[in-house]
Amino acid sequence: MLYIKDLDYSIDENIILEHLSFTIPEEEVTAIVGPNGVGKTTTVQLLAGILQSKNESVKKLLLEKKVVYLDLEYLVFDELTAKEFISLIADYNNKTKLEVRTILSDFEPMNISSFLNTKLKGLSLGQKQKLIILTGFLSNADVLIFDEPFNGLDYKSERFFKTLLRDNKYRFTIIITTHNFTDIETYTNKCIVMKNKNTIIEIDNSSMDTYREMLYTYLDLEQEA
Amino acid sequence: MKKNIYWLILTNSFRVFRNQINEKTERIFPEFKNISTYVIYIYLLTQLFLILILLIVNFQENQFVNRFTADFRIELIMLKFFIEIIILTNIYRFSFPFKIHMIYGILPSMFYILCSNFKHFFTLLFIQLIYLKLFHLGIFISLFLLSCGILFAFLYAKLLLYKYTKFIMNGCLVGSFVIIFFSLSKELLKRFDINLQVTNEQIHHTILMIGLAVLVLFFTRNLFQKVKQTNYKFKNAHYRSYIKSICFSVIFLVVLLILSQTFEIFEQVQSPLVLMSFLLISLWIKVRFVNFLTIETYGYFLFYLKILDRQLQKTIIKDIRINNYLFLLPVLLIHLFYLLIQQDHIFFTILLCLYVLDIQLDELVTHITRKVVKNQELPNLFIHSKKGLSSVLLIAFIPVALISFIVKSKQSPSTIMGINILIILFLLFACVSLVAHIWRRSFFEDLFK
Repeated sequence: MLYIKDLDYSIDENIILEHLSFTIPEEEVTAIVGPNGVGKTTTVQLLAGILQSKNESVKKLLLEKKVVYLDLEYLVFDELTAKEFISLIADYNNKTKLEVRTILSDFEPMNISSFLNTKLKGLSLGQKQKLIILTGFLSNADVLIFDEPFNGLDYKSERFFKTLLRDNKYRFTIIITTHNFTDIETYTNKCIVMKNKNTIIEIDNSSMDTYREMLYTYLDLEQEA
Repeated sequence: MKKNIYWLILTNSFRVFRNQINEKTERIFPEFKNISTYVIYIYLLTQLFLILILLIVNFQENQFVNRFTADFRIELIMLKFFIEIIILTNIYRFSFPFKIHMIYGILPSMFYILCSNFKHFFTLLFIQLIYLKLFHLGIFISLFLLSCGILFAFLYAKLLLYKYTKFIMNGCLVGSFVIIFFSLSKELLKRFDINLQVTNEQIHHTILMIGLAVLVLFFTRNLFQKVKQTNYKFKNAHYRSYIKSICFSVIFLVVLLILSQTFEIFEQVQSPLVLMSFLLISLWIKVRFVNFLTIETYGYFLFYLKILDRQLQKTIIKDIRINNYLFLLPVLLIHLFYLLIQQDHIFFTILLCLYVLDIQLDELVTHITRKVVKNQELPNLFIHSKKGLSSVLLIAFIPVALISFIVKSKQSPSTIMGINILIILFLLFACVSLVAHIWRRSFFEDLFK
């Protein structure tokens, strides 16, 4: 279990997060949810070290675990084809050809092979999203953080990615932020509901029905029929 | 799997660079559109050719080069680091997503930064080659290793967004420049048998001048904090920028103080130079702090004032005038102090008159060419040019006095007058050209129906 205690963040005198404490189960999937502007992205960026924090628990996390924050802006090699890019990532992470082939075949439902020879600058938002997800799974990270990973994904790919998260075959600790609650009980083990800058509620997925019900209650949402 | 990460990064940068060159070629020479793909190869071949020439040529056989490198060894070494830091400053501007090394690793990310700044990287390599040909291998290797260390430290700091990187780089730039300047001046003065003397009196005056600058800055800060509510807030960033102008004044006056003791010509023209310095720094302050110094800062609020409040109209105009006097006051005091220690009472009075005249003239120009702007239009060139007009006019006339001092009675009156007019015309030409050049650049951007 990863423990985060008293997480604070402010810009000038504007307090964004105040004394937030929560836990993240290791090798499982945790979703951080909440309304816009509540500080979800700030929280995950603090956990990844993108934003500077003096918080001891965050420092400890970054020291002990390899945390990778996956965002589309990291696809900087515009002139490489998707295939070359995958090769670059695999090379950096010392993946063997066999390992790469296995992961690629696992990702086949996402139809990655259809754009392998397209340069990154020519990829659509959804294709870039698929590539950045693949980048995460090719990495040697302990913790993978995805900020709104379903954005731009087509229905099939979204469903497949949820299956991938549910199975978590590669045993990563995965943190996602999302507004997509469809089937959330099937692929997440825990939800952290951010109500405001200093209030969060942790919901463990012990029973799918109550989990979903609690989540909707805390978010003041009405359940779909 | 083959270790090809660096090769792929290089490939990406090559393709980016090739596209840039293609686009540039097609834009400048549309008739060469079909062969634009090959321009990159011509470019790279040219660079390679340059390197080959440099490798073939042996500078050490040339006596002049030999003597030069022996005489100015330290200066040349400092110059190398100075140029390298300038190049690194350019690379510093390159932006990339923070924590990119989290995805691609530290060394590949560094390589990516270098490849993305290929031209600068090539210049760095080229400098190493020149120094390889200038110095002995032993010295070169030490210098090369040091440069590699600096480059590595810089890239590491840039990658981790170490917040003092820019500050340290600026410090190194200024430091190496000062060292080059002093060692070169020392060497040149020795050759021309000039002995620069720093007397106790000069040290005393310098300390007094620095003390005065600190005191004046302290009071100015407090003054601005208590200034009217209608004023813009004088922020720390403003203050830091303001300190620069005062530092520049003090440095210039101290240098002038030392030079005037050694060179007769500087002694003769020191007072006009003080006036010139004052007006130039005033110009800089006016342009930099235009938000505080023009009525146009209030923008559309002035229409509200026009209808509603007569008393506030007067107050705002008064506030702006006070601001103008306050902003230029510290610079004035420092320059006045210089003239006071030189016991030049005439120029002391001239400077005081110039101070008032400059502000009055400024106000006159603003009110003659009245225009209400939005706040976001304040960086507009029109406002800046208008604001600097009075100082530019005064600067253009000061050299008359300056020239009169230099040429004194050695020339005939007609020659003196001719030279004076020539100088005025030259200065006016320089100022007009500069302003016209800046305006020309924004001509099409400002076009609207």
